[in-house]
Amino acid sequence: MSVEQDSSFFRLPPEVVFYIFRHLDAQTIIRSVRLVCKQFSTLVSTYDQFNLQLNSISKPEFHYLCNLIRPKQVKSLTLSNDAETPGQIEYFLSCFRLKQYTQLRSLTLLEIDQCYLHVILKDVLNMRLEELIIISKEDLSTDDAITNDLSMVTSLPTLRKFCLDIVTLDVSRITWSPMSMIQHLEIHCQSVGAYCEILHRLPHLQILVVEQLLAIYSNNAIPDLKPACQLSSLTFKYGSINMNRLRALLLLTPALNHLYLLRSVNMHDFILHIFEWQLLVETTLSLLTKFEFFLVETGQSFFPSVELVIAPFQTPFWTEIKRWYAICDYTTHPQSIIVHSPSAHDPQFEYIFYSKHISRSTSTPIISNVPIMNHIRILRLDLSTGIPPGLPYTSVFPNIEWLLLGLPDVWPPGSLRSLSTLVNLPSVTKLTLEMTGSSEHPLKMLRYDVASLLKLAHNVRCLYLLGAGNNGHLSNCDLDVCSEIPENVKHLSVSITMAYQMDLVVRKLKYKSSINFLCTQSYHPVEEIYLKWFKDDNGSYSYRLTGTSLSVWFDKMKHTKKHSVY
Amino acid sequence: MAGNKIKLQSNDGDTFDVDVEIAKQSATIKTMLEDLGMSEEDDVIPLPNVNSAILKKVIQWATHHKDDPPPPEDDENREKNLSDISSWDQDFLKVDQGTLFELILAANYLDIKGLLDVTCKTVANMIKGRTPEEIRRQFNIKNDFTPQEEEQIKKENEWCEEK
Repeated sequence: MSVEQDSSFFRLPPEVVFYIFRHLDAQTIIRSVRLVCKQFSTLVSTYDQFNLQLNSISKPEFHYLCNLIRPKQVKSLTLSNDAETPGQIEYFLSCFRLKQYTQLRSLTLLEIDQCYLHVILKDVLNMRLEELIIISKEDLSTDDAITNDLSMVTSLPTLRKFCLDIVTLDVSRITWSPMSMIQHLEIHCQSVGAYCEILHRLPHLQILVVEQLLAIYSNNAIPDLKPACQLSSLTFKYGSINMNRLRALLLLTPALNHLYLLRSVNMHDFILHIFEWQLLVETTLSLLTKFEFFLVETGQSFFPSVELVIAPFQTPFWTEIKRWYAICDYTTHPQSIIVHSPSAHDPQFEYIFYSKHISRSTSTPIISNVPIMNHIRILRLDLSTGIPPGLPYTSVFPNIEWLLLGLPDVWPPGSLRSLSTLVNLPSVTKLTLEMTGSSEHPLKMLRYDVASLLKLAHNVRCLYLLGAGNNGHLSNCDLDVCSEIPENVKHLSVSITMAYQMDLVVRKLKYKSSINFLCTQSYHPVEEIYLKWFKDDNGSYSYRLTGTSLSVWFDKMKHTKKHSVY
Repeated sequence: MAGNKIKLQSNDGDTFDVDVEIAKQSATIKTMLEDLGMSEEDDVIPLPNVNSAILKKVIQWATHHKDDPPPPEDDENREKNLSDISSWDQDFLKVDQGTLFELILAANYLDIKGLLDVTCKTVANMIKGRTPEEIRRQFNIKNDFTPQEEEQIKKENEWCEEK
C-alpha cells in the first residue's frame, strides 16, 4: 500500500531536489537523505552529481560510500594518501579503475605516489575531466614519464582548471599544449622564463596562481611578449619578487581585475615604492578593482612603528578611490610586522601567543587594545608561561583551525577557562599537545585536563600527542590519555619510542580511523617485521611507511592477546 | 516607457511595477524582454506560476540585491559552501516552510540564480547533520519503507559501523 506524502518537499521537481543535493556532502545524502522515504531513496539512486571526497574518512565509511554510490554517479572525486588515509589510493585502485567513473569531471589527488600518479594519468587522458588537482610532497623531479603525462594532460579539450601543487616538479619541463583550453592554473613556478612561457602558451588562461616565483635579480630577464590580455586574476604567493620585477611582470597582464600578493614581495620594498605602485595601477592596471596583500617583515633587529608603516596606505587613493584598506599588526613572537588586507590571511602563518601585539587599521577609526584577530588560523601557545588575566569576553582568535599547545608537567589552574575565552575552541579542527616539562610521565598528570579540553574543542578531527624534548619520549603511563580521546577525533599522531607502544595506543583508543606513529628513537621500530606483527594483531588495514613514521588506516579492529614482537 | 519600469502580473491577478534592471535579475524575464521581442512598454508580463505573496517576496529580494555583482560561473564540480548566507538573506528567509518551498519554485521558474542558491542552501542547512528521522520530522515526511526494507537498510549500515 502506498503512503501519500503531503510534505512541501514533494512539490519540487527532481532537478531542484538535485540542486539541493549539490549543497550536501556524499555522507549526508547516503546516510541520511536516502533513508528518509522511498521517493528520496529513488532520487538518490538516480542522482549523478556526487562529490565523493574520500580524504579524511574512515575505512569502513570508504567501503560504505563506494559500495552504495556507483562510479557513474560520481562527478567529483577526491583521493588521498596523506597521514589520515594512508594507502588509500593504492587500495582504491585495487577495487576500481578510474575509467569506470564515466561522469567524472573533477579529480583531486592528495599526496599521491609517483607510480600511482602514472597509472591514473593514463586513464585521465581518456576522460572528460574539467578539473584536475594534484597536491603532493613526493619527489617527482626525476621522473620524465610524469612530466610527459602532465604535458599530455594539458591538451585535454575539456580541462579548464589545473592545479599542480608539487614542490619538486620542474615546471619548465612541462610542454604546454597549443590545444590547451585551461582557464585556471595553479602551479609552483620558480623561474620568470617558465612563468612567461605559461602566459604565452595558454591563450585561454583567466586565473593564474603562482607559487615560489623568484624574480629579484636583473638577470631574471623578462622576454618581450605580447600582453596576456585575457588574464583577469593573478596571485603570487610565497615568492620573492622585487618591485621593479613585479612592475615589469604586471605589464604582461594589463587586464587584471584581481591581484593578490601573499608573502611574495618584501614589505619595505613595497612601501618604498608605494607611489610608483599607485602610478602603475592608475596608468597600466586601470581595470584592477580588487587588490589584496599579505606582506610580512620578520627577523629584523629594528622595526618602524606601526603608525609609520600604515601611513602610506592612508591616502585618498587607498581609502577613498580604491577602498583598499590595510591592517598593520606588530607581534613580538615571531618578531614581525604584517601589513594585510582585511580579507587576506596566510594559511601557513603561525602566530605565537603571548606576543606583545599592536594593531592599526585604515578602515576602523577606533583602535582596540585587544583586536579580534580574524586572519590567524594557526596559533601556538605555551601554557607554562600562562595566559594573562583581564581577557575580553569575545574570542580574540575566532578562526583558529590549528591550535598548538605546549603543556607543562602540571596544568596551570584556570587556564582552560582562559583558553576557551581566548580561542573559539569549536573552530579548532587540529590540536597539537606538546609536552614541555621535565617529568618522566608528562601526560599522566594531565589526563583529565586534556579530556576536558577535548570536550570543549569538540570539532577536533586530528590530534597530535608529542613528547618532550629531542627524544619526544612518551611513557606507557602517558599513553593512558588515549582512552580519553573522543569519537570526533578521527586521526591521531603520537610519539612512540618502542614498537609495543603501537599496540598500547591501539588498545586504548575507543574510536579510530587512522593513527600515525612517530618514531622518536634513533632506531626505527617500524620495520617490516613489526608491520607483520601489527597486521597479525590488527587485521586488515592500509598503511604508509616513511623513514620515521608508520601511518595506518584501519578497517574494523580485531584485538588479540598475543604479542609476538617486543 | 514610464521610468524604465515594467509590470509583472501574478497568477492571482495582482500587478507590480518593477524597475527593469531589478526584474532582469530573472533570466526568464530578461529573455522575454530581449530575445522574444517584448518591449518594456507592453502592458504586463504574466507570471502564471507565481502567486502575489511570493512575487512580492521575490521583488523584495531582487530589489535588495540589485547592485550585487553578477553571480559567478557555476562551479558544478565542487560542493557548495553552506555558511555564506548573508544576515539579510537569513532574516529574509525566516519564513514558514511552505513559503520557503514556494520561493524555491519561483526562483527556479524565474531563473534567478542567486535566490535559488540561497533558498536551496537554507534547505540543505536544515538537512545537514540530521538523522533520517529528524529529517522526516523537519519536513513532515512519512516513513513509507516496509519492515523488510528497513531490515535491509539496517543490515547495510551494520557492516560498516566504525566501532
